Amino acid sequence: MTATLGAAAPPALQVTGLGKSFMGVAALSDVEFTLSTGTVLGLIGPNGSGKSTALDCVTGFVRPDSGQILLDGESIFGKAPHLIARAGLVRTFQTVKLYDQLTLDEHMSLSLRGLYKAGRSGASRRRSAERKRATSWLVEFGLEQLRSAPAGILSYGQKKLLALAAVLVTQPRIALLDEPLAGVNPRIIDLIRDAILQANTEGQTFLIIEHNVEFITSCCSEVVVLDAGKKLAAGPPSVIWDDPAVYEAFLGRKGDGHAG
Amino acid sequence: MTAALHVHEPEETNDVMSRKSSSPLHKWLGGRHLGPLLPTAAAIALVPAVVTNDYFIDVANLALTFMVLGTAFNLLYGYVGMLSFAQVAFVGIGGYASSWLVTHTDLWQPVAFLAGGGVAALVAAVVGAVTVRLSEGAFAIITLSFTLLCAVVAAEWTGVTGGRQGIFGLPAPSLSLGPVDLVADTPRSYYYLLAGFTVLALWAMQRLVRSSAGTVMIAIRDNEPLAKAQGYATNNYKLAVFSFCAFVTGLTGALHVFRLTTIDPSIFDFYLMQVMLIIVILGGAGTFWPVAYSAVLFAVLPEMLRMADEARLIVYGALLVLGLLFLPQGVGGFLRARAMNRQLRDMRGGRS
Repeated sequence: MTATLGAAAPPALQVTGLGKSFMGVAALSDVEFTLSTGTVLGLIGPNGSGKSTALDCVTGFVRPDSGQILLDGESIFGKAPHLIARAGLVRTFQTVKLYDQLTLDEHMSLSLRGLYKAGRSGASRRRSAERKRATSWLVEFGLEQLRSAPAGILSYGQKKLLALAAVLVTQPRIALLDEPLAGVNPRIIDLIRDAILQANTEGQTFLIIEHNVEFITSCCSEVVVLDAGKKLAAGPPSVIWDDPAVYEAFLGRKGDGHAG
Repeated sequence: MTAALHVHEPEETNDVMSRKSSSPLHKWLGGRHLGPLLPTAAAIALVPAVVTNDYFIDVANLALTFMVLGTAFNLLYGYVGMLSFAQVAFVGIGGYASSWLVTHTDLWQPVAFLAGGGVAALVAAVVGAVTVRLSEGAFAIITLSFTLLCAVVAAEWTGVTGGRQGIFGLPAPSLSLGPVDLVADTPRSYYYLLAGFTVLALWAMQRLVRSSAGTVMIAIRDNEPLAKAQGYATNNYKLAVFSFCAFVTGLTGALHVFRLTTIDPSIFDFYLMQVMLIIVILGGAGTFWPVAYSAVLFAVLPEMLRMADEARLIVYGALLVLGLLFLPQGVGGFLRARAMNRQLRDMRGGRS
């Protein structure tokens, strides 16, 4: 799964010393991680550990206080969200976000139109390839029948699938998924996992926030654990689960009762 | 009112899939998305032939004014989701700017009217540059304050606005170009001028709404963070629509005050804003033609009922309450929901 590139190429995403505090409360301090091209990086941690804030900082939705964020060696620190998205960091949201009045087809084409670089070379051929890709994702997710229906009528699981499809169809430099599995049933979990693995074998790079241990273990080549805004551990999933500090952060010390 | 059935969803996607070849002119005008524009234009053109009484022609003039004002406000509130209380300010700014230009300079009249819209757009660009990034509530409050500020300025800046007396005795709109000399000095001739402008403005606004930029506008209304995450500079879109609507609104204001032949600070009265709100909310925010037709209704209704101003406001209030109780999405929203349900039923039927 891990594609090692030549040593000269900078990592797809490199975050160092990332810090952010809200009204004096540190949500993130000195967080760092590196994401290499073609890999799947898992960002895990208990609720409130700063995972989503880290994602918001990286994608420009929240302005970080300090640190360095490099996309392919170029700084995207503090840029506007739409510029970061165009640069290739495309995200989903923890609370699924869609345009209720727009159809599934319109979602796919809006996503493609907004995220593809403005270069219009070979536009018509590329557009037909894009349309084919959009259709195949909708078919794969069982949404094809609904393609001309407004997204507002979809079920929660279908909404999650559509949001994921709208990201994957653009084949971004890095796809950042914020809890793609939260709140969906096992059948859809399988669909999403298969989609992510399939895209990854085709070269898609991922950064994924998720609580589902099984999913993290099977999909991620590398995991970063956050706790209380700090980086607690990093490494392959098999190593991470054996780390007593990680165990403690997630489940509390033995004898703590119902730590939540 | 089959208009709502054309509201963007089913048509557009089919259109992308199987674009029919049609004449370039037809395509440029908006192709299949023209919808009820041509029948509406025909109806507008027929009014002077059917209505003989000049008083009712004047009512029709008001209806056309409301149509443009209501649709411009619909673009902002219904499509982009910006609750702008500055629309009435742009009516006033357009009115004052064109009045001042016509009475104080020798500017060719059509240019003076366009300049009225231009000044409004310029002011909107300045106000918008600061406010479009704010939350919906803050935007509403600042635009409201801006309107109140405009009323104060109009009353106090005597040298330009004529103070509380305003500018009066405005000449009839005229178009003199070589041998052509058209003067809109009767309600009827004025109607032709306004009708031409209304059809043009509705066409332009419909074209915007049905374009790909129009889809982005709806996307911003439905979920602005997602639109940003998909690479759209949402603030630029909002600023552009805000300025465009201010241009249309300012131009309408200019034409409006020349019909009244006078302008004073009462143009900034909240009454006009209230009318726009009612037109858009009861017509169905975010649906194009239902709002345009509800503007006609709310221009004609008070005249039909022949009531005093006070009673009119009470009836408006009652209508708004009833509308919100039984048609919370307005007539257009109701029709759209019905069309959507039918479409879904067909889909389900098609699957089994």
